[in-house]
Amino acid sequence: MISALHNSATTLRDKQARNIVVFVFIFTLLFAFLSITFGSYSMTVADVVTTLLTGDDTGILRTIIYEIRLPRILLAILSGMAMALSGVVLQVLTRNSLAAPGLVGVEAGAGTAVLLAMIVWRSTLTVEFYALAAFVGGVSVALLITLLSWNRGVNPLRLILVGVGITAILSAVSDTVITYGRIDQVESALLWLAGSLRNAGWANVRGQFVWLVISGMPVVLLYRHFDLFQLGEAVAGSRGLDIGRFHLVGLLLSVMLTASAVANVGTMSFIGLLAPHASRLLVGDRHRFLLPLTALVGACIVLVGDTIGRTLFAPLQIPAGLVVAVIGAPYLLFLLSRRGHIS
Amino acid sequence: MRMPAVFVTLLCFVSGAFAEAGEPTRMFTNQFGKTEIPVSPRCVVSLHDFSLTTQLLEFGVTPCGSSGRKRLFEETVIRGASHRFDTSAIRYVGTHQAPDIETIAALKPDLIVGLSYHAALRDKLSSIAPVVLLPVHESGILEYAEQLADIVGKQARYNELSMEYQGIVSAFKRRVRDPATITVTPMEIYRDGFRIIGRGGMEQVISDFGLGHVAAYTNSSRDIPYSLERLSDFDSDVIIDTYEEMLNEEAETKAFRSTAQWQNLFAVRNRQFLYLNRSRYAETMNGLIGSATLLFSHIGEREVRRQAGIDEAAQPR
Repeated sequence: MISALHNSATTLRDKQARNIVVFVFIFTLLFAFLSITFGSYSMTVADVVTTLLTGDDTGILRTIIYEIRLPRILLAILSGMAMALSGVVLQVLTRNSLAAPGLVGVEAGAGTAVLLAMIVWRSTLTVEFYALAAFVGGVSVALLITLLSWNRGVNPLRLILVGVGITAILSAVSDTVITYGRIDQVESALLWLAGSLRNAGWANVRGQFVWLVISGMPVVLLYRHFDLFQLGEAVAGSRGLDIGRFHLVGLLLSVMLTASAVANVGTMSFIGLLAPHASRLLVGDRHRFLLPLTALVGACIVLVGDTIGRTLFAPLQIPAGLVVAVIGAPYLLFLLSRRGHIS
Repeated sequence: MRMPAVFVTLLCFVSGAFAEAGEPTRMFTNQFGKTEIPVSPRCVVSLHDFSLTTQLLEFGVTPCGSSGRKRLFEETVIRGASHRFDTSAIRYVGTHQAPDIETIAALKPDLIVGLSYHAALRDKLSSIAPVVLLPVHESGILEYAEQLADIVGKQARYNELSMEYQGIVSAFKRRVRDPATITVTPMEIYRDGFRIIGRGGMEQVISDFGLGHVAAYTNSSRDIPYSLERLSDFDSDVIIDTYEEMLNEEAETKAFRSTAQWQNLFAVRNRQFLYLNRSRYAETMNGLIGSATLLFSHIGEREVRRQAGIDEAAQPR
C-alpha cells in the first residue's frame, strides 16, 4: 500500500516536472520567435512569417532576420544552455551549490586566454581561433586546479579554494592586459568581457552547436550517473560508478561547455549559478529533469537578457551579461529567500 | 501593328534595364580592399564620429547616420561636430565600437564608412550597403581624408584644405630656425596619471614642423598610462594637453595639476603649456589646420621673443 502510494506520488512529481520542462521549452520557442520581431528595425509578426515562409533571398527584411536576428537568437539559446549545463555539472561534482564556472576559475582561464588573443596576440590569432584559445585556457586552468586540489581524488572544498585563488591571479593578468592594451582593442575587449552577442554570426552558431552536441549531450544522457553520484561517493562506488573517472569526465565536459560559451559570447558568470538554482526550485534534484530544464532556463535567461539589452535603449546596445546580472541577481536572492534556501 | 508592339517591348526592356542598374557605381580601392560604391552617395553612414563624421561635415556632406557618444537619458554627442555643425539630421546609430546594425539598415544607406577595426562587421554591413574602411589609425589624417574626399566627390575641397595646411607648415619652417631643438610633448592628463597622446593630428603637426622630442617620448607608448612620478621625464619646452568639455575633465584633473611635479614642469612654469579643446580639433583636416595654427602661433611668438632676447624661457634649455 505504502509502496503504491510512493509510486503514485513519484509518477505525479515526474508528470509535474515533465510539464514544467515542456512549458519552459514552449516558452523558449515562443519568446525566440517573438524576439525576431523585436529590434531597431521595426517589423510585424506577419513580416517575419512571410519572410521565413517565402525564403525571399533579397530585401532588407531577409538580411535583418537571417543575418542579424536569427544567429543572435540561436547563439543566445545555445550559449545559455552551455553555461547553465556547465554550472549544474560543477555544482554536482563539488557538492557545492555555490560552484559555478566563474567561481572555480574555468571561466577566468577561458576569458583570459581570449583576452590575450584579442589584445596581445591580435595579429597572430584571428577571430576563428578565439574558441580554441578559450578552450586551451579553460582546460589548462581546469587541469591546474585539479592537480592542485587532488588528494586521492578531487577534493571539492580544495577545488573551490584553489579555483578562487587561480581566479584572483587570472583577474590580475586580465587587468594588466586591459590597462596596457591599445585603447580601441581594450574597448572592444571590455564589451566582450561584459557578455555581448553583438557579433553573433552563423559561424558562432555552428561552432557553439557542435560544442554543445559534443559536451552537452553526454551530460544530459548521464543523468543516472549524476543521480547516483549525489547519493555519496561510497554508495555510488558500491553501485558500480567509477568516481575518479566520473569526476574527470564531468570536469572536462564542464570546461568544454564553458570554454565554447566564453569564446562566443564572453563571460556571463551568473548563468551557471542562476539557472541550476532556479531549475532546482522547480523540479528538485532529479537530474533526468534538472539537466534539460537547467539548459532551457539558461537559454531563456540569455535570450531574454539579450533581447532587452538590444532593444530597451536602442540603438545603444547593453551587453546581455549586464542585463542578466542586473535582473537575475535580485531575482535569485528573492527566490532563495522565499524558499528558505539561504542558510 | 507589329512595329508598335516591338517598340513598346523594347522600351519596357530598356527602362527595365535602367531600373535594374540603379544609380551609377564605380570601383574604389585602398589598402583594405576593393569596393563598388555609388558615384554620388545619397545617404552615408559613418561609424566613427570623431574622425569620419566630422570630416564629412567639414567637406559639406551631412551623413544620414553616425556613431556618437551617448549616456542614458542624455542627448547624443557627436564628438568633434556637435558644437560646430547642425547635427539634427544625423541619426545616432550606436557607439563606434558597437554600432546597431539594424538602425543602420533602417536608414537604407547607399554607403557605409568605417575604420580598420570595423572589419569584423564588414560582412554583415555589406548586406546593407557597400562598406569602405579608411586608414585613420594606419596612415593619418591627410591620407584618410583624401580617400574620404574621393569617395564623396569632394576632392576639390580636400585639395584646398591640404594646400592650407601645407602653407602653414612651409611658413613655420621659414620662420622658426632649428625647430628640432625645441622639444614638444603632447599628453592627456587624467585623474591619476597621463598618457602620451596627441589629438587633432598634433603628432603629425609636430612631425611636419620638424620639432623635437625629449628622449623619454621616443621610448614611450601611447597605450601606457604613466604615473605622476614619470612626469618629469617628459619635461619639454612645450607641453600640449587637451580636454573634453562634456567629460568634465577640468575638474577631474584639478588635483593632478596642483601637484609639485606638474607645477615644476618647465613648460608650466614658463607659460608654454597649451590646453586645447579636443572636440574643436578633431581627427580631421580642420583639426590638423587648427592644431598647426595654434602651435605655429605659440612657437612663432616664442621665436620672435627668443630672437629679440626678451624671454629667458624662449632660450633653449
